[in-house]
Amino acid sequence: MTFDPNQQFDLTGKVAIVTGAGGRGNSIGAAYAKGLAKAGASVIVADLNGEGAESVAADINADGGTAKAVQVDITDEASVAAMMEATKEAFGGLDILVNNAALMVEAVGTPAIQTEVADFEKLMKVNVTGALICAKAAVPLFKERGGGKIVNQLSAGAWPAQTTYGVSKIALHGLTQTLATELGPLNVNVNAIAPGMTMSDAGAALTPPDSPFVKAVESRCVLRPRGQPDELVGALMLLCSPAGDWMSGQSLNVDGGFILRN
Amino acid sequence: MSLFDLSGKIAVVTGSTKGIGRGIAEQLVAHGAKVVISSRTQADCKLAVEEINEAAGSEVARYATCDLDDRADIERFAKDAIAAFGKVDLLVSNAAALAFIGPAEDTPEEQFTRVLNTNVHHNFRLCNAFRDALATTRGSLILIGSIAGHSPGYNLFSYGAAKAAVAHMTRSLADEYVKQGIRVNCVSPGFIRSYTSGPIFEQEEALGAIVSSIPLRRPGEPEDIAGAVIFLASAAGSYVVGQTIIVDGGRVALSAPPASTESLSASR
Repeated sequence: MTFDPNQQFDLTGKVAIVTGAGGRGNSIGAAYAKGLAKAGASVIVADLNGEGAESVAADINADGGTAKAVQVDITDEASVAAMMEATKEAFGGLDILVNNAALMVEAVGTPAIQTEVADFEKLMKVNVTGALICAKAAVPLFKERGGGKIVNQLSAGAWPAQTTYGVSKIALHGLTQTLATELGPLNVNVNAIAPGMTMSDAGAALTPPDSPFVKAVESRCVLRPRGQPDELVGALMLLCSPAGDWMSGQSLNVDGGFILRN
Repeated sequence: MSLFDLSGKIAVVTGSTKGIGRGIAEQLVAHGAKVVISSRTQADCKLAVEEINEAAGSEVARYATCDLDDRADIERFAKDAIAAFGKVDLLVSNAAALAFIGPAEDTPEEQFTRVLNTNVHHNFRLCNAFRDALATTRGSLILIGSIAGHSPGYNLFSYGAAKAAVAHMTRSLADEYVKQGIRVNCVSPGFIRSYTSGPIFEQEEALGAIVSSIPLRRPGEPEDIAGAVIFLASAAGSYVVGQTIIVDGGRVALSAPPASTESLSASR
């Protein structure tokens, strides 16, 4: 019998990559990176915006954590391979991959039928193909460590799929399940987190109080319609730590009741 | 970590002298909670409480007996369990009746009725009996389901129907109880090493077939279920409501074995 709570959720000695973590201000990716660092992991703060990544990594290091910034384009296999190399060089390996980077603002406001095909292809390339490219590149590093954890960022807007953004997120849910099946024998857990209406800077800009979408969410979100990025960190800790060692193929809906009445 | 800290919380766990319930109770204690242990057998309760208190080095566990088969006993149990430490912040409704293993065509009416009564009807009465106490503490209610309630193929017709009802009851109760500040969620375990599954561990071939159908290639341990419970019960899960978290090594997400599984295993 163990009475040490720290064992279950502790990430000391672990190495994590969070993509899309370079958001300055209030951002889910940055909250994830900071949460992982606080739990003891060394964190690669990865973002297309290299300056943003540097800024978040500096915040973590100043706060007593361990982080390094990496500029990456997740749709480019060579760029992702370079990120994995940088991760090995900085921290010696990889245990946790958080596929958080995504296009959202560009996609949520337009009905699917009015979406330009080129825009849809770009959306799928970042939100789905990008996650697959990162997962593929991470697997050899996981093998060296005898296992690993992948967490994909979904959205309550995937159930049911709303606009092309929701379509990309339900596709990523499918990828989560098939990767869970394929990588389970390698002791790699693949799960997801589906946030509700989260007041990151990007989320807040998309959800003005008087919009019909927000009114609809408020009317059915039984607990509380608006959440904060920090409220997602607990789910990430469960999925990345020994406490979640036997979970795979699951999506944790952390949404205040957003999808409860679906 | 403070995110998962349950210091000062009182948890009631039904069916907690052994197996999954015991694993949950021990991890709740590990994270700072005090627990009310429960089963139908007083001697089992006493022993579990002694063992947990001895390991903790203080009185972190007390007990109240409960026979979930007996609906008339539920109100009495709730009063005793709430009185044990004077309040309740968390109810983990884990006690279940497996009662009858077999397909629909062989299921006797009285066995089906018993499984549905205990796991659904009495379970719902149990939740209601704790409702006011949980409202007082703005507490949390966690129902324990089963993967048998999410997919067929386990030769558990009655139990599967009952556990599917539990998963849906979770959503309906969540929708209702949230008005009183109570968060209701569910954790559905897969194939766990416990006293109920124990006999299968003696049968090498049957065990091998089950384990090979689990992507993570091992049965679960009671502690594996506790992580999701701690998450839902603590500040870490405070924005989660009406959800069922399946903890099964990836079994339910698995649609069919992928062509590449063997080569992946071989390259390990």
